[in-house]
Amino acid sequence: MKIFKNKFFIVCLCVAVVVAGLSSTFALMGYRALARDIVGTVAMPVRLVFAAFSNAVDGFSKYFQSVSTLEEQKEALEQENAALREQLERAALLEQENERLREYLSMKAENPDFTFELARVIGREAGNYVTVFTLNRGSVHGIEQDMPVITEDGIVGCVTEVGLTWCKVSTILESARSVGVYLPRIGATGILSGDYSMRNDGLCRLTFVDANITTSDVQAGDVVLSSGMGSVYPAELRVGTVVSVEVDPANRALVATVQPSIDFSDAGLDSMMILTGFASEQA
Amino acid sequence: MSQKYIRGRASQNRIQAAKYILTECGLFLAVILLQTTLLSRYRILGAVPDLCYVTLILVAYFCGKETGAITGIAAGFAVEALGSVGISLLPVFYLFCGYVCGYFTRAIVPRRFSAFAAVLGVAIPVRGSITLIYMCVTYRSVNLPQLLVHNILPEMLVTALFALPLYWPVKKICEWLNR
Repeated sequence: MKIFKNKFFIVCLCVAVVVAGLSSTFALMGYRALARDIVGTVAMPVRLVFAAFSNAVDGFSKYFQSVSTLEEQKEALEQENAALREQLERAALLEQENERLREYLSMKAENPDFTFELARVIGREAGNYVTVFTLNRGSVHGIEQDMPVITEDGIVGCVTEVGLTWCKVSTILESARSVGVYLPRIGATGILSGDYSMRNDGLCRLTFVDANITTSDVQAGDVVLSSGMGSVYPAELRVGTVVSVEVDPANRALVATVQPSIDFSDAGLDSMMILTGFASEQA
Repeated sequence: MSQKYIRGRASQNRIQAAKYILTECGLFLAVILLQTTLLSRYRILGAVPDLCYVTLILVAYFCGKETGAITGIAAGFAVEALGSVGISLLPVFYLFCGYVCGYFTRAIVPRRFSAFAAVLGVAIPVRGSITLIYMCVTYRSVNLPQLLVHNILPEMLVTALFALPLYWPVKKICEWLNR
C-alpha cells in the first residue's frame, strides 16, 4: 500500500482519527451537543435561509396537494350528496305512501265493511281537469265495471271499462255519471252529475229531489255526502262542498254548484282505492 | 530581488490557501445544508442523497489527493456534527475516500464526465457499505435484505442521481480554485 506510506496521509489520518475519536468520546459522554452547537451556530443563518426556502417549496407543493385533495373531497362530497338526495327523494316517496296507507287504514277502520283494491294511476286524460283515469288493476285483480273508486278525500268516480290488468275510471265530473247525494246539514237529497259546461272548472251540478228545498235552505259551504242510492257508491262518503245555489230559469228547480272534494287537477293524485265490496245501505 | 520574490510567492500562497478554505467551506456548507434541510425533508425514493460525499469525490477528482484528504476530514466532521449518529466514523472514512479518489484520478483517470461516472460507479458502492456498517452499529440486529432494499440501494441510487448535476458546478469552482 504505497499510497498510504505518505507523511501527508499519515498526518491527515491521525487528525481524522483524533477528530473522530474525540467526537465519538464526546458523543458517548453526552457532550455531543457542544460540537453540534458550534457547527450549528456557524451554519444557523444559512440553515435558516435553506429552511425558509424549503418551507416555501413545501408550501408551494402543499398548495397543489391541497387543491387536488380538495378536488377529491369535492367529488366525494358530490357523490355523497347525490346519494343522500336520492335517499331523501325515496324517503319522501315512502313517507307519502306511508301517509296514504295510514289514511286508507283509518278509512278501513271507519268502514270495516269495505274491501279495497289499491291501485296506482298509470294514465290520465290530458287536460286541465282529468275526467278519466287509467289504473293498474284489472279483471285478474277482481275488478268489475261500476265499482266505485275513492280516495281518502272522497269519491273519485266509478270503473267504466275493465281490461285484464287495467281499468278506466270515469270521475264524477263526467256528464254521463251521477251520484246520489245528500246534504247532512238540512237532510236534503239530490243527484250530483257532471256538467259539460262546468267540467273545465272542475265543478258538478247538484239537482235536488226534494221540491220543498229553497235557496235559503242551501248555503255555500254545505258538505255533500253520498247517499248510497243506486247502490253504486256506499253511503256517507264525502263528495264535495256547495259553492253556489241558484234557480234554473227553465224549470224553476233549485240547482247547486258543487266543488268536488278531490282536486282532479292535482298531479299528486297517483293512487286510488277501488271498492271491491261494501255493505249497501242508504243514508 | 529574490527575497521580494519569495515574500510575494508566500503571500500569493496564503491568498490561495485562504481562497481554497473559504470557497470549500462555502461549498460544503451549502451542500450539507441542502442535504440536511431540503433533501432530508422530501426523501426522494425514500432516501436522502449523500451530497457531501459526492462533492468530496468531485473535489478530490478535480483538485487532487491533498485537498481531498483535508476536505474529507472537515466534511466528515461537519456532517456528523449536524447529524445525530453516536459513533463518529465519517472523518476517517471521508479522509480515505477523498485521498484515494484524488490519488487515483490525478494519476490515472482523465478529466471527463464519463471518467467521473466510472469513478462514481466505484465510490457509491463504497458509500453504501459505510451506510451498512452504520446501520449495523446503530441497530445491532438488522435484516440485511430489507436493509439493502429499503435503505442502502435507494440511498446509492439517489446519491448517483444527484451526483451527475453536481459535476458541472463543482468542476467550475475547482477550475477557478486551481487557476
